[in-house]
Amino acid sequence: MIAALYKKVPAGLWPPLLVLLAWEIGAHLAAGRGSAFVVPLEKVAAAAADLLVQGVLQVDLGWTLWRVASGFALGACAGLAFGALTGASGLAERLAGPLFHALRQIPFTGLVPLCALFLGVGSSAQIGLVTIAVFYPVALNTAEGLRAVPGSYRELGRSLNFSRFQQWRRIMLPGALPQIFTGLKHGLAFAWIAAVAAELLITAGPGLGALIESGTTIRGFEVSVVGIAVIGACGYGMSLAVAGLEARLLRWRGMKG
Amino acid sequence: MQAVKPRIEAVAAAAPHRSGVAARPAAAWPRVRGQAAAVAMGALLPLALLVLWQLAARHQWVGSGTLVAPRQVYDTLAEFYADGTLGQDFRASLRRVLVGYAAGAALGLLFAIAAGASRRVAAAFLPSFHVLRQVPVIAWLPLAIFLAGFGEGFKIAMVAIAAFFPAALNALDGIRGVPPALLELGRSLCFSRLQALRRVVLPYALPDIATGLRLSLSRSWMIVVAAEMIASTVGVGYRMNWARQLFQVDIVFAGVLITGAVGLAIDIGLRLAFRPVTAWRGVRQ
Repeated sequence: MIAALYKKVPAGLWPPLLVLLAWEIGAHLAAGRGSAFVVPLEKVAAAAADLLVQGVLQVDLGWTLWRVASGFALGACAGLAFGALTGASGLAERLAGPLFHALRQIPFTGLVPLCALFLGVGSSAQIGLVTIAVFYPVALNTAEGLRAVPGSYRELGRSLNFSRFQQWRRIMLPGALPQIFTGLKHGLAFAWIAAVAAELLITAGPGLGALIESGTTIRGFEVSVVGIAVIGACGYGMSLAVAGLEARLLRWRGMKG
Repeated sequence: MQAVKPRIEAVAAAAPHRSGVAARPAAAWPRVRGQAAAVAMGALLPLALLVLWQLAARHQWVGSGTLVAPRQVYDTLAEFYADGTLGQDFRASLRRVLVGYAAGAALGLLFAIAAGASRRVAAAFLPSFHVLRQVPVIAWLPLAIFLAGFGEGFKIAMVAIAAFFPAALNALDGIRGVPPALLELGRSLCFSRLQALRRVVLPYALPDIATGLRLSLSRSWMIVVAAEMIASTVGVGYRMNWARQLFQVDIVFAGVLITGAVGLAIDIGLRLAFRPVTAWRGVRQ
């Protein structure tokens, strides 16, 4: 019977199942010895149900998503504008490029105290961090995408007497679009990470980061576990959704083989 | 933060050496002058911003007291350097990074080799791996604190987690990308598994492994700063957070400079260090 079961369950499910089993057994063994750190899974499930019923989880998720969305919008717009400028103009690239690449190396966790100082310990500092995290990949990929548009395409536009607007609309943007999309994709992933990090490091207001933080202090550890699971699931769902969207939007890219 | 993975043109028959073409003396001068001009151009904007910053701070254009002059940031840095605080914080952070990175990156490489070598290991562990790598490393913080306490352990654990995923992911990509023809060649030469790994798979995957190791170290540095902000009594991240709470703006700026400089040093340093092993396959870095 065990052999039949072994064949039925996909191989990829075994390690997590075994870990959960070990966790459950370990938690019950440790329970008698007064260790509060390992909580049994049923307690985690109960905490998840509680958070859902009370609406805490929805509120926190909503706030995190709001910070991701607003930070992404700001950072992506700034990144597109900066990337377009440095990608299209050699002068702008020579002027601003070195500074951009140097600043890019500052880890955004290092900017947390700075943002908190200038924007206050609150939502605007958190959104500011998300904006910065989104800006770099979008700007970088936009500029590289524009620079990579083949010279022969540009020449074609010129020989067709395209106006500047037409040149951008018909040649530059379509040519750079796949890489711009790559930048936006990385930007979105970074936005999600930055939002959680900002909520954890600048504890102000609701959010998933604040939720897992509260698990270590006020609420029990099981709340942290629920929060981590939700964060992971959302990140996974987001990357799947973006991959699907990319496949749909950039169908034409596969056509030229 | 998953790897911004350079797309690799899998050129199986790449020339093993890119001959170092030495510039002829006659051509060298214009190139040096061109580089000098580029450096001057690149320095223009930072210098202008520095002057603007100094003026803004002196005349209090922005937020009273929150903007300190670059001069003061420099003085603070010099002072911290002189009294040893800087060295102490820096050494503490560096130690955590190195220990955690060594453990995390080594585990990541081993995992990638195991998953690349055995279809069974891959089928069993890769699904979990791909789900777990979607969890932002920083979200593991509470878990790490619970499991390892507020001491050194959790910071090193966080760094190890941060180093594990990029190292494993890139190595895995590299190993997966080995052309079947090369593996076939190994088989026809009656290579043992270990020989195939040593002579075929690892050399081919080396550029990707190097990329992974570089990203891992950058990520490690980022995470150690965050972990130190949460709970620490020494370290660059701790110093910055402490200064923020006391509104010591100059120290915060000095901290940003240091974290940025270390990030830059890691990126450039490892790119240069790995160049001998990455150049041959034309990896864009």
